[in-house]
Amino acid sequence: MHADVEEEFRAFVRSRWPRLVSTAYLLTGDLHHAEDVAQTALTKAYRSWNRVRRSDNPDAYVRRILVTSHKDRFRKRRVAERLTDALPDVADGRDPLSASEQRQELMAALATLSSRQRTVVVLRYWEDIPEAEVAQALGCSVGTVKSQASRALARLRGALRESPTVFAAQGEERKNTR
Amino acid sequence: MTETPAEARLREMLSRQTEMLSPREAPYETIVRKGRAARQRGRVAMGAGMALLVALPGTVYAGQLLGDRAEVTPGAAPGGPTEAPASGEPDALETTGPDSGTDSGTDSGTDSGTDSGTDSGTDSGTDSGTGTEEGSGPGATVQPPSDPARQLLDGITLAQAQADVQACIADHWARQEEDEGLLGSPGIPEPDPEDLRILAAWQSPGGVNQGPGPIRRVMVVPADPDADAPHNFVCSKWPGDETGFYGFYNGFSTRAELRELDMVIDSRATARYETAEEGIDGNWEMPFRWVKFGSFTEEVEEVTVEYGGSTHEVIYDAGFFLASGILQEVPDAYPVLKAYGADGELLYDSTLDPLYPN
Repeated sequence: MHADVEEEFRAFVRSRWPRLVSTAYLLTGDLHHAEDVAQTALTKAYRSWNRVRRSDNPDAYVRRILVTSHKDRFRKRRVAERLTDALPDVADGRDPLSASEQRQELMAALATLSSRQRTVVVLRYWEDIPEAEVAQALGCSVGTVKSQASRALARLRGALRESPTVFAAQGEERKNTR
Repeated sequence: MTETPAEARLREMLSRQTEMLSPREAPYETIVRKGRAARQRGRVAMGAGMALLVALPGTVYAGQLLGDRAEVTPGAAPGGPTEAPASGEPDALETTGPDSGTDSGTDSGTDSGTDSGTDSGTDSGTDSGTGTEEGSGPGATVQPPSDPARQLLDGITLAQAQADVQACIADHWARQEEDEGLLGSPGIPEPDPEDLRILAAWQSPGGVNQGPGPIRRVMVVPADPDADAPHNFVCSKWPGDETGFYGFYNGFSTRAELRELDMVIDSRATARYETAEEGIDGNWEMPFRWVKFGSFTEEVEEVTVEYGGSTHEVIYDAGFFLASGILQEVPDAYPVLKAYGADGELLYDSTLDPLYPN
């Protein structure tokens, strides 16, 4: 790889790494696994970098590699989804117990989804990418993305409704929608 | 697009979820080192494949078809294991089903009865073709199957299969130009080999219409199951054919076509590869290598194939399912194909399909 192309790749890695790890974290539920998946995705991207950089949307390309790497990893090693052990530090003044509990409860709720539903949720509502692009990343139709998202939302709603710390927020939601 | 309150709240929660993450610094040097190593492995593999093609005088052939009954794992050395994992044993592959569009596989039953399952033969016998080697080279970059050990059957190497496909593409589209599309695939552009993936390679028996076998077949599908171009086809290479002629067959449905037809699975894609030419009552050359594959839609979570008294392992790759085996006796019924959805509901049953030969 030429030096200038390699530098381009380095800049790409530097700028995308945090976001890729965050996405992978939501997919895996574990920071260490997330870093592994992000690293695997970028390694694959490096291997095909000329192809990636010439694509219309390198970010979408790498995101797709990330999703595939996660699926492969999940499938081949049967990685058990688990919550992270350490509670993250809280620095924004919100009630620390409630915030961290809510985060754990969200991860527990995400863990109730199928792998595909979870991926749809993460790509659609965290990455905020269009349904068509989610479909492309998952190798399915837009209709499937819609149906998977709908089912996932229903399941999350049910799982979070049982959560005492999220329940109040859901009450607000119901009020707001009237 | 309007957003429901639930969706808005979910966005907020996901965002908060990642706020406090503090990943380590990007391991750039590790990524580059591993990426370079992967590239190097790719080059070495291609070089080894080329060396193998030079070393082997084209004598690879399924031992079963010639009477050598040594059973090996497809693509493995003779004498290797023959059994797929038992169906009752949880397997990582079982957690995802076929919807991923890439690799996975499940063992949907046991092999018994008259069929030797997906096992391949040994390397021996006659030349199954020439001209392939000439077609290989740096451009032979068709992607390998997700699980070469179970998809490259009868001792066919990846390099051979890739070279076959490369030569087949060149042959087919050149012929299309010469014949103004009469023999080709009018309107279908020549594919970029890198966009293709080998689904299966196997040695097929000959027949009245096909001529004497064994015929080396390589099934190719788009690496992207939802690709627009219907580049899924079987390249066939006849033994001892010095002309470089490659048969070409592309009567397979894509996922998009299945959706348009309101079908969930292409049940008859491989009619010509799963029985003798005249169907179940035809003149069989035994033992008989059969393959059954086809595309399926994302509604399908599991596919089962029963044939010759056995339930066969099904492999999923690039939006296709694949099952194969070697019949030792003429079967008394066509393969039974079933497709199941995520909740285990039966989506397709070939025994209930009036268009399926039961």
